[in-house]
This record gives sequence, C-alpha cells and structure tokens, in this order.
Amino acid sequence: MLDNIRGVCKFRVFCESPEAFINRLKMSRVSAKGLQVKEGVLYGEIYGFDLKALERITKSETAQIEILSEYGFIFTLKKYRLRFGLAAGVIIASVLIFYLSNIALKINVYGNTTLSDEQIISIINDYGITIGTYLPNVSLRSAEFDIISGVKEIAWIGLRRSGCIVEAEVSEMTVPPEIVDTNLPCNVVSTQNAQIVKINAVPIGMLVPMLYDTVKKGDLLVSGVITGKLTNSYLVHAMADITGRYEEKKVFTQNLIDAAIDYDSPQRRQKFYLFGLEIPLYLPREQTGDFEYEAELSRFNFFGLQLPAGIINEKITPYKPSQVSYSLAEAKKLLYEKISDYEENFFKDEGVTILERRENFIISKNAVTIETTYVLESNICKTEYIFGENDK
Amino acid sequence: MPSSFSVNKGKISDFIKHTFYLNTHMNLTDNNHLEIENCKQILEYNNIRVKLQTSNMIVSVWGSNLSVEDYNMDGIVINGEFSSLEFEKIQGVKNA
Repeated sequence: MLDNIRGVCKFRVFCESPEAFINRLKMSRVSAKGLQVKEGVLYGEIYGFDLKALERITKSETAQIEILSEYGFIFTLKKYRLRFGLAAGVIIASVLIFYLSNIALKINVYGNTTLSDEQIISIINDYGITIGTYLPNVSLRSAEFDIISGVKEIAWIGLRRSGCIVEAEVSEMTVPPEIVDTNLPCNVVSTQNAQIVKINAVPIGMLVPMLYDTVKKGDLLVSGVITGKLTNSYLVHAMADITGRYEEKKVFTQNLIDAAIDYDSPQRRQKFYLFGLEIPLYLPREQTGDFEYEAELSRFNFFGLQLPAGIINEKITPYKPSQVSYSLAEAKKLLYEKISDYEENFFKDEGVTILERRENFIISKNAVTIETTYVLESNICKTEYIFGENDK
Repeated sequence: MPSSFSVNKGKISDFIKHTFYLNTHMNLTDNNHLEIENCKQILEYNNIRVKLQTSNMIVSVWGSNLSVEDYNMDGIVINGEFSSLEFEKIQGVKNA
C-alpha cells in the first residue's frame, strides 16, 4: 500500500565494481532492496524519491543505469505532470466542491400547514438566508431567533444545514377561532329602505314589523328586549333572517373620448443569474419613457436539484398615454360591460337577487350615461348592539 | 556479562563498544536469512559470496543466489541459500 503511494523503481546498473556502487548507495542514504549481482550486473529496487540520488551516483561512478520498471502514485503523477488541463480541472473541481458544499443551493420546508413553502422561504430570505448564501457566514441560530421573534405567524422554526441544503422545520402559530359573542344583547335593524317579503327565521328576539310591511334603513326589525305579560323584561341576543325588496340606483358613464395606453412591441432580453448576481447578456442601455417590466427566472436543474444559476427572461413593453374615441355603439357596449362587472361583483357575489333592471340612457356631447334602477331582494338584517358595542 | 567482555574487561574501547552496541550483531534464520548490524562496507559481492567489513571483523557469506537488502544505517540483510560463514579478524583488533 505504502509502496503504491511512494512508488518503487526496479533498475539494473552496469558498473565495474558493484560493491563500490552499493557502498556509495549506503553513504548517500539511499534505501535499496533486493540488491543482487548477476553476471556482474547489479539489480535492485529503490523508492521513487531516491531515483535522482541513484542517477547522481551512477553519473559519478561512470556506470550505466537502466530502469526496468516503475510503479506507484509518484510515477503516475510524474507521467501526467505536463497535462496542465488535468491539474487545472482537479484544482477547479476541488474549489467548486468546497464552494458549492458551503453555499445554500436549496431550502426545504417541513411542518407548515397554512403558510405555503414559498411564503416561508420568502421569510427566511428576508432574514439573510437565500439561495447562493455562503453558509459559514450566516448564523442559523440567530436567524431562527429573529424569525421567531419577528414573524407572528411562526411559533417556532428550526434551521439546520445538511450539506448545501438548508432544512427549515416550522411550527406555525395556532390561529384562535373567531369568537361570535352571542351573549351580548342586541337588536336586528334594517340595512335598506325596503319592503319585507319573506321572514325566513327569527330564532331569538321579538319580531316588530309584519310581513309586507315597509321599513326604513335603521328601523328595528327584531327587538332584543323581550317583555312578557307575566314576566319582567329581559334582554337577548336577537337573530333573524329577513328578506327585503328594495330599489337601488346606479349611474354608469362612458366618455366618448377616453384616455388609453398605446403599447409598443415588447423587447425581450436575457440575463445570466449566478448566486444572486445578474449578468446582462446584452449591451446595457438606459430605458427611457414609461414601460411595463416582467422578469422570470428559470433555474438550471441538476438531477432535480435547482442550482443557484439560471437565465432571467425579461420582457419590457414600452407604452405611452393616448386618447381613444368611441362611437355611440362602442360606448354603449363598454357601458354594458361595466354594468355586468358591477352586478357580478356587488350583487351576485353578495347573494343579492336582481328582480328588475330599468335603464335610462342620457347621451350628451362628450359622454353616454346610463341611469340604472335595480329592484333587488336580499337579507336586510344587521346586528346592532344595545349597549353600544357596534364596533365589535 | 558475556564471556568475551570478561576476558577484555580491562579495555575501555571494548566496554564502549559493548555499552553502545557497536559490536557486530548477527541474526541468522535457518540458512537463508542473515541480518548483520554495524556493517561498514561491502568488500565483495556476487552470486555466491558476500564479503563484508564490520566494526571488528570481516564476514564472508558463501552460498547461492545471494541478494542484499536494506543496506542502510549500518545494517544489512542478506538473503539466499547459505553454505558457510567465515569470520576473519581485522588486523589490529583482538578477539574478533
């Protein structure tokens, strides 16, 4: 084993006096093995690092040396000593292995239930641990402490390093459920000027108006103060589900000459991303005027592991403000789109039923206006605390 | 105390040689392996004979296929098939 590392060289020497040659070897502290004289020729073995001394002795003794065989790491190394590319490759690989094993290439998150992996990674990034961070320069313990004390959604976080991967084990804060205080006495009042068309349920409280009665906004629908004939008055937390029918007016306007944005054709360019460094793959020049900017990073993959290197694809779309003029038909079409969006957002999503829609067109010189009157049906109940707790 | 020392006990040089292990120490295994310490010089070396000078004598090893190893730091190992050993006193050295 040791011989394979230091190398062994078998040789033979043609000399007048093998004895003198051996004595010279001894004086030069050259360790020789298996010395044998056959027909006046000296055979033997020496270690690789003694080869120069042997050659020197041979020269001074006017003898001839012949190397029979060489083996061992030193001789292999000697054979490849002029292959600089190989040496450079070994050095670069060593440096890369050292560097890549000390930087964060991936952040794994465990134990999260409500927060997504991306959210937690973003939090960790904010505290100085990102893909490409040189990990020996980062204190994971202080980052843990900072995250626990600074992020209220996280109750505990454990950061540990596994080679080039940062493992984050998270324990999220338990969110307390929303507590509806059903013990506080309250009335139920109307939210609209409406006609009561359906009384779905009044589980607690005393109903004040009757079916098909009209009520004003803020009128009492269900009282939380119950007065019995044989008992004293007492307060309850009134609850009700009462549907009312009411009208609502809304005005939609569309200018015939409106502001618009003119987009130019987008410019696409790329940057090389390496450990957070962005190297432009184009000649940098200042972008003038207004523009929209989109960038997307595509990381290189190595057997499923995302490397801290990749390509950033940028899309720059210049634009300038302009004016656009609409015809009457186009303006009306835009108005109906607005109305449709409004109904979708404010009525359908809120559980409001549209019974009727009346439209009144007003066409002026610069704009088209639609005055819309809706007949709607919805729950008109609103809780109002008796003892001024309405802010809750 | 070895008997040789008791004979020459009056001589300081022998005492020093003995004390500092400067005598010729030999270790023979069968007839094919011989280790000699304090070997000063190889006087003759070929297939059948190795003649050495030690501190106080000349040793001749006769045999066949003789080879020398580890001739360094005044020690030598001789391998081969030995037929005889000869000891010759160096002139001027008594009781070799």
